[in-house]
Amino acid sequence: MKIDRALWKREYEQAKWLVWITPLAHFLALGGNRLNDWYLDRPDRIQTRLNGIHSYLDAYEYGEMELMARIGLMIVLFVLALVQIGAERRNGGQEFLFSLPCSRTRIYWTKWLFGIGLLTGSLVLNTALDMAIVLGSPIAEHFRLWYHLDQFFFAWLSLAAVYSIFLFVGTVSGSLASQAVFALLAPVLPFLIALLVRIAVTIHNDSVFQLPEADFVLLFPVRYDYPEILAAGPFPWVFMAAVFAVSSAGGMIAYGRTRAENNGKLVVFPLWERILQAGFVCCSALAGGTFTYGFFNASSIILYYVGLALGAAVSAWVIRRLLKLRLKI
Amino acid sequence: MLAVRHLHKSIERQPVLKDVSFELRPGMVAGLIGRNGAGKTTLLKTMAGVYDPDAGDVLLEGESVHRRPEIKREIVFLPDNPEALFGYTPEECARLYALVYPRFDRAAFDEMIRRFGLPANRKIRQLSRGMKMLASISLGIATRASYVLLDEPTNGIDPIAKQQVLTLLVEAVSEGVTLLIASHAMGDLERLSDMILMIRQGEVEIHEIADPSRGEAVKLQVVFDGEAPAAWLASPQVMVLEHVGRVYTLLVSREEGDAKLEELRRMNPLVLEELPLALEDLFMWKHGGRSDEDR
Repeated sequence: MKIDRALWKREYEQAKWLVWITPLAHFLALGGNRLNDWYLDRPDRIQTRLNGIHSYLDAYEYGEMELMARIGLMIVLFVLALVQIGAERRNGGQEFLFSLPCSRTRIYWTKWLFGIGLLTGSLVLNTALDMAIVLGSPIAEHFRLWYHLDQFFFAWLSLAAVYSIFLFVGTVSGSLASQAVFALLAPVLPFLIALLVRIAVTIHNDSVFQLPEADFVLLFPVRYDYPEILAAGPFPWVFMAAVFAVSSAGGMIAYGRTRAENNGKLVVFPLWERILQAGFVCCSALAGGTFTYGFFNASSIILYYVGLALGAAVSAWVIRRLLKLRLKI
Repeated sequence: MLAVRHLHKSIERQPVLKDVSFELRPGMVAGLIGRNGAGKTTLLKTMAGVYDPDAGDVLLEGESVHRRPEIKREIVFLPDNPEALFGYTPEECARLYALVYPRFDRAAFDEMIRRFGLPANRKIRQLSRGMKMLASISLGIATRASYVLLDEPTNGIDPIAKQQVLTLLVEAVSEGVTLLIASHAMGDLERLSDMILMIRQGEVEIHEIADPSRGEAVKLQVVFDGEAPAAWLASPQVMVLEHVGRVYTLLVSREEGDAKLEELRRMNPLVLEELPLALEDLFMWKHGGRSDEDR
């Protein structure tokens, strides 16, 4: 329909620079790097490198180039989500879109599809280029089609999940700045909460503190233990797919109910304000307790509770003021 | 017909619109007035579907614009600053609007752009404020939508651009478009409008332009014989609009009957002449000395 063309056109107009930067940055991190290693480097260095290869994983450098590409793509998708949601709250774009004769779900769907399309396009193009580069290089005998496909689907699912989280966070946040902060926090928040809770439990049980499993970190795209995470079975895939589905649906629902009159605030929904308030106070209290317990090196449970109370009081005061702010960015 | 039914809207727990109801008939011009922060923009944005109402609805030919947003092809909202279009040229805007509004009249838009000397290929951001509004209104009118909601269309623009904007609006009305114009330019609204919606403390009062005060007040020019009656002038039913020498221009309320007028007549003033009540007088009378606490 024509209205869909209008929505796509608008998305392209406001993010066209990203449309060109994305595949280019992706190429520089992946195909370009591979090209440099096996075509453009000095012949003696290429030979030395070749002598050190004993398996296909050596040839593919254990996915290090793919990791760099995923990091690059994640940064681009983070910026895209800010442009698509946060910036529009500030520059009148959201009000313009909401006044158009189409549903908010349709507007969100276009935005989401635009980002997913950009990701897919860049991955298809660069995976194909990378395969061609490997096949024409001195490491051609180590070429594994399934390796490339594996990397493709791992990158697609993990980045699509993280991009959907960035967008979802944007639908709840009231400004560009709060979207940026919450989007950066969201993937590591489960890890931080688990860490603080484990410290609290450890202190009370008087047992040795252990770092939690890194599985709590939702930053799948930046994980470098690529072969291991896949060898762990279907759980990472299922978990990423679940995060992808929940954040996509959550974003769609939240965008449809966005309270545009609250643009500029930290969050646009009163319910999320309360969740943010409670979460901020709880985390700050736990962090305060952990700080005073460790800082004075006294291992005193009383010091832990002093820090806990101080953290709760100060954070309650801070968050009340923050929630009243109307941010200009 | 565009009907607003029992609309309620609160922002940050403060009621901004309270049980607002009115109707816009095809081809009419309605002026929306109220103090700064009274809720004019909130009302327009809620009617355009930018804000969701807390209760009530906005119905176009009986269908809710919030539940069926696709019917908004007949409603265009033009904000006081077309910030969302800053990155586009008028030419690009026209192409975008043509995709959104099926009856977009490209020839009419080109004609308006030519007539007002708007550069078709310069970004809206780079245009003067007057040109921005002209481009925005030209786009809105070229959509051929039946209802155009305008927020402060003449605010901050020079007299020539203002005249051009008003010309555009008059032409649109002559073609059967219904306009709802939020503005502080009372004189312009008085000339253009059939009906005035005055928003005060979240409620909307409807005033016909032929009799804006609905007989509730009378405007008088008075010259007293001797000392002006300070107590009478200070009474809540009397408002001094102007005082030059011995000449007073007054508004006298008739809401509680004609007692105050009778008192005045018994004072035998040297001059007692009834003047036509202007929209600005009505506004002053309704808001005189008081401030809205809400938006």
